Amino acid sequence: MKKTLKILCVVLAVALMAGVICALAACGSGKVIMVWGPSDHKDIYLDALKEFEKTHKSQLGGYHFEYAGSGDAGAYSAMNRDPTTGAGVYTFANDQMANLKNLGALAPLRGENLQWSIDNNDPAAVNATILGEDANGDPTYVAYPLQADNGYYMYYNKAAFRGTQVWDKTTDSLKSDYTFRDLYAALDEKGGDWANGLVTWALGDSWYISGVFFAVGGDYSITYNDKGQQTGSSCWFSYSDNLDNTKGWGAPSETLGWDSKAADYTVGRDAYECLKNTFTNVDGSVNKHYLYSDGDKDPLNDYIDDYTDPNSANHAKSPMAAAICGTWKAKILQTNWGDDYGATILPKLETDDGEQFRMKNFRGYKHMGVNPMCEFAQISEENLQLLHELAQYLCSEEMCLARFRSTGAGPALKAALENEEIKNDPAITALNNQYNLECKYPKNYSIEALRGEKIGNGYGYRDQDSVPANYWTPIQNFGNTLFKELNGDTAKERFATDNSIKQYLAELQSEIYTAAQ
Amino acid sequence: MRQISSLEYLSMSRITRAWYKFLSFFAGIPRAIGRFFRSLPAKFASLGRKIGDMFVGVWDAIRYGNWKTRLSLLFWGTGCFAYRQIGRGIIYLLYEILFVLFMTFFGAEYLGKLGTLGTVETQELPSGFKIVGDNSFAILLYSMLTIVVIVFTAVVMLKSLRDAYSNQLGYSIAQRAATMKDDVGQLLNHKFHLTILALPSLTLALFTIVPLMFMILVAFTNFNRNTLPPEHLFSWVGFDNFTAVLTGQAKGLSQNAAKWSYTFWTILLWTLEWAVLATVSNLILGMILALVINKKSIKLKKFWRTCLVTVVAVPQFISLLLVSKMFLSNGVINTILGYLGMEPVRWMNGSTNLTKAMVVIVNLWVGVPHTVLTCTGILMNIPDDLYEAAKIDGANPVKMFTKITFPYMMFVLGPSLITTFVGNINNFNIIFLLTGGSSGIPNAKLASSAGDVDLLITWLYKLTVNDSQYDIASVIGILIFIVVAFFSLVVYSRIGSVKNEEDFQ
Amino acid sequence: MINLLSLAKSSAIAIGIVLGLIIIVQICVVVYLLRSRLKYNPARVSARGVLHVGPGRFFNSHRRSAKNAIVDTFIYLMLIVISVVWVFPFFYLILTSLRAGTFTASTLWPKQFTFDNFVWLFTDKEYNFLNWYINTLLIAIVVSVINTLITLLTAYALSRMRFKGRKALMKFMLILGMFPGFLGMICIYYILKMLGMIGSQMSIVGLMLVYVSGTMMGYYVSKGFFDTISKSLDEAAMIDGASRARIFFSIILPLSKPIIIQTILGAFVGPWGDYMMASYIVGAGGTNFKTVAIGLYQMIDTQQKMTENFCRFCAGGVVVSILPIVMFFFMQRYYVAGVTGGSVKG
Repeated sequence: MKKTLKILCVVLAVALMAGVICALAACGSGKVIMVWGPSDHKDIYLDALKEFEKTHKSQLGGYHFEYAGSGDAGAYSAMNRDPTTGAGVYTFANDQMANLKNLGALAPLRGENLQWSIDNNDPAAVNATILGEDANGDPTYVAYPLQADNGYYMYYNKAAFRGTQVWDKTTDSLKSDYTFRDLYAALDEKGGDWANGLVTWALGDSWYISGVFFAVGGDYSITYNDKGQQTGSSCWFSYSDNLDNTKGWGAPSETLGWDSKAADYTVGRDAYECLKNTFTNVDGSVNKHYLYSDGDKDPLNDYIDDYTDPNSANHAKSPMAAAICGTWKAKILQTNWGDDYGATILPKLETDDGEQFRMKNFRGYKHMGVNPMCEFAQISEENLQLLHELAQYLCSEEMCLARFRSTGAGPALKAALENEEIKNDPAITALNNQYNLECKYPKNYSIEALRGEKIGNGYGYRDQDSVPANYWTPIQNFGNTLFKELNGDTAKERFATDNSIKQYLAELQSEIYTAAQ
Repeated sequence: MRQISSLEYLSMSRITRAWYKFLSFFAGIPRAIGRFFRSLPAKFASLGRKIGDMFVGVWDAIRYGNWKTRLSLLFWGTGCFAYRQIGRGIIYLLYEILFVLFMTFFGAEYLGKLGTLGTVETQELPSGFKIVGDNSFAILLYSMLTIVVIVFTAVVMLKSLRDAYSNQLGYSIAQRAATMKDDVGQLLNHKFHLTILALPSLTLALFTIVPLMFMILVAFTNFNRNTLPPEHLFSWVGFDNFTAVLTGQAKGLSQNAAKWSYTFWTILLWTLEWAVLATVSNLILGMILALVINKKSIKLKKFWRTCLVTVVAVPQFISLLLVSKMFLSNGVINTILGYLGMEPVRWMNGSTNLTKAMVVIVNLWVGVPHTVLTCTGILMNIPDDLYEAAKIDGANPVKMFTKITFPYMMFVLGPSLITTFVGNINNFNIIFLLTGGSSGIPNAKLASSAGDVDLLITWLYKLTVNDSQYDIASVIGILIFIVVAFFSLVVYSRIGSVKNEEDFQ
Repeated sequence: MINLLSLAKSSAIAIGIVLGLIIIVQICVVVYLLRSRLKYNPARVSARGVLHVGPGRFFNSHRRSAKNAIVDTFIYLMLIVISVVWVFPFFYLILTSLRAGTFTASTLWPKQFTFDNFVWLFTDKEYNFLNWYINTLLIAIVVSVINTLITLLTAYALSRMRFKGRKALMKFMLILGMFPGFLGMICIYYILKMLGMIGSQMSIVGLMLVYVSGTMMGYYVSKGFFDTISKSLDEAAMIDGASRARIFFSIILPLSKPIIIQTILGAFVGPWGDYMMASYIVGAGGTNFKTVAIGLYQMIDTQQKMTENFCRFCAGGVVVSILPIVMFFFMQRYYVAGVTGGSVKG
């Protein structure tokens, strides 16, 4: 036992020593400015930071940079704990912008920095960096636009559709006018391996379903002040915000929430029918080609990998023919599909009456922010300015290209967008085509006159600004419920009845509305 | 449960007695609850008396002490210096100096702001440069730290006074005051417990008690995602958060209070259901497996046990994540079912009830090995002569099981069953890593962060880490504490080993 | 089409073969064991009867009947099924870690086996697995040694010594243990920051401190164990002039091997697999200091990384699991005894 004790003591002593040495070694390495970004861009950033450190040695005053992969979505949760030890410069997804500003972790852009940002970046992306107005009524810009690619479009396997009715022989690609049902029919037409082919879009993920609501004219609006606090909100996702269950579909109640146009405007019903028709047959049953997925339980990304991977059991059973997703899947699909890889704009949506809307995407951005709370920036105004310079440098053209080459990230910088390499990328092309689509109400649409001709901003996207905290849950619930009810045999009739769907829509509307309040 | 006379009790066999004790343990729980509440006033009274007693001694020292003793109240250690306890005196004096420095440069500043939690707001200059103002968080936290230090200092001060007084008394009857060497010697012998407990107590105070005090107080503030320091200040709001969670009535809160309340009660119910299910299922399967593996004629005992124990050894964040992958809609389990010609099942994303059932089942996978190990140990401890005697009496195996093995196991396991129950109430890993707290079935009535299979503890985690709703989270933490404390105290007060710990020696 | 079908078939066959093999081997073992049991051999049986005193005595019949054999067969079958169920996830873990290409949830048997995932783990610059492993090992060793010492000493003091406030202290710790621990995480972070233990490698000391801090409250099982050791030993030693400290180190400790080992194991596995506390204290997204739990978790923290890195994650899982499995395997005997020692006393 004594021997054991001795050994224990030695182990303890050695371990403690090692710990202390590690700690001391860390202390010796001086003061640190953290830079956060996606972990797969680590090498790119490290090189750039080294370069910047070299050229600004005197201004840094003993500080040096360190890069950590927080992930764009992780920036808020990492910053949330303590902005004073957080990164000096960091990337983040733009729906966190208001929250980050509310933490005090975003420094507004002024003077030359602001001018640079406005002059050199895609206007839509620059617009997305605005948060509220300052005392003079001028918009406050709180971040540098970094990526403008956070949207979705459709990937498809050319082999699955070649020669069918949706195929355009001249360009060897999918026709631009097609609905989900057309795709399903085309797969049946193609037969063979593709008789079991699958089309997936994430009906259970609020980010994707939102696109359907926006496509038929639904919208929300939230205003913030320049501190990142919400000052006003409104939303229109439903039939009306004051549902009257005694009346049928055709007769909505008189009170309308969203900027009170006139009577028979029915976003909720259109959205419901369009959503439903993306995955059902005319008789209301779920089409066998549709593969349901949602945000995390039936993960879309997972499915795309699984059903396109030549080695997978699921691929052998039912290969994936088309999927709605964003740039992050471009690489793997290119590998898995090879020459048959294709990308195009989103399909058209169709109501029960045959009115067709173009599906919109929910356009998100990635920005680069400067944290005025971090230790280095707190020392002096010059230091803060230096961090602004760094952020600007990290948004430069060569950085944008490097990021694109590494993960296919689509830049917001005009110069980079003009680059041949990026211009010719099928994924980026599809995305930009989608953004530039004209979105109008269909000719036979009954209330065209009431809402004007254009839907929303008139283009194929809706900017994803800082959504209200509770936005995602109710709308995700709506999509999930819709699928699960229609997929179950007994529940089919229940959900399809007027009152039930109205109930769900009313809940959705009130949920988003209270969330926004 | 029928009370039996001591004669009857004595006439029982050893095992029957154990079984009787076990049953009466549970039968007595309701009474114990009543007794616990009835005894509360008396407990508080005795606590008050004990604190009072401490001061009585001090009062004596001041009244009857000589000038040296009285001066020790002001300059600690005077009483020690005067009786040549130089070492001890220096320690007291040094501590006093340190304390005064601590208070002037640290404690007083924060304690002074405790009432308002800070008034100076963070400013932003036109250039975007931030001038950071008061930090409510730091004020609250460091105030708690200061209070703990003050309480400890008060104890030290009283100790120095008492030392001085006892020196004075000892001197008057010509006793030699203890030297430094004596003191150190005592620390390894009669006062060994002080040596042992000092350092752990310090870390305990710093990392458990101070945070605890802090979080209790946070329940009375509006510390949430809208008031995060250092950008914003938060302030006291009284009992608003409690009323919001318990009754759904919000006063001056912008949150959707009715939801907080509904969510809390729903989740509390499921938490209790889960704890009962998980505990009981674990016990039954664990016991059966232990019996089977330890059956004399079964070979490869170690092998079977090792198969089970692997689960304990692999970190849960790996094993549970993997299991959750296996049960995906397109997961391996469904693939295997497909080969067997069966339809895929939505194990953990189809329905709330199936998901809950799956969680209980997977919990068996994680928990049963522990139970098996424990039961194995217990089985080894059952005296052989009991079985021999039973066999001579002609008992069959079933009889031996119901009359000997089962009562014995339950007697030993009974108390730890409750600990397991309480542990299951706070079982974070299974629910969180396996399901993320939701079966994917929406429930619009729940507050945004909560899912339909969340336990209180996982909801709490989401509230703090994801949502920064510290105020509501603290309220829920306190409520969890009340639930857990209720079960534990009732049971612990009935566990023989706490009551009569000398019995076994 | 044919190609795809054959793929599906071959993987089905592969699964069938593997599971079949496992079951066949196990059945062979069982049959072999039962064969010897079915023969009546009084000498052997009685010899065994003497050797195996203890558990499950009531099952042990001296007459070998067919009924017993049937019961045993049934039990073996049950044990086989159960052990397959229990081991299957690890089997899957190892298979996935050896898979080439990306992870697909639906496939059990990899098309191609490769050690690339393991190689990647130890060579990739972005994910410095070796560094995480060393960090975690260091933390776990230091913590398990210190925790064991603290736990045993506290238990000893509370079991053997009678001092003022002992019961109050026990009750206080009991109550303290009922608060959900991580509510205090944010405070713990700020206290560590105050002590200068946040940021880069300093976090290692901070984490150790956090893991060590609450140990005192875990005295319960060990105290139960010490309670069973006769007090007359102490008294005898005290008469010989031994101090309390000496009694603990030279009398109590040598008698407590099971509980020591159990405490070491428990204290080692805790920090080894902890994600929640570690990620918060260290600030998972914001630094380059990582433990295996944080690091592995971050390898798969987005949907995209999940599919990209899941096989590597599994490889990491295998590497991380080896050490605890080995420890448990060799210390199982003591673990059983240790668990019981405490639980007998509740």
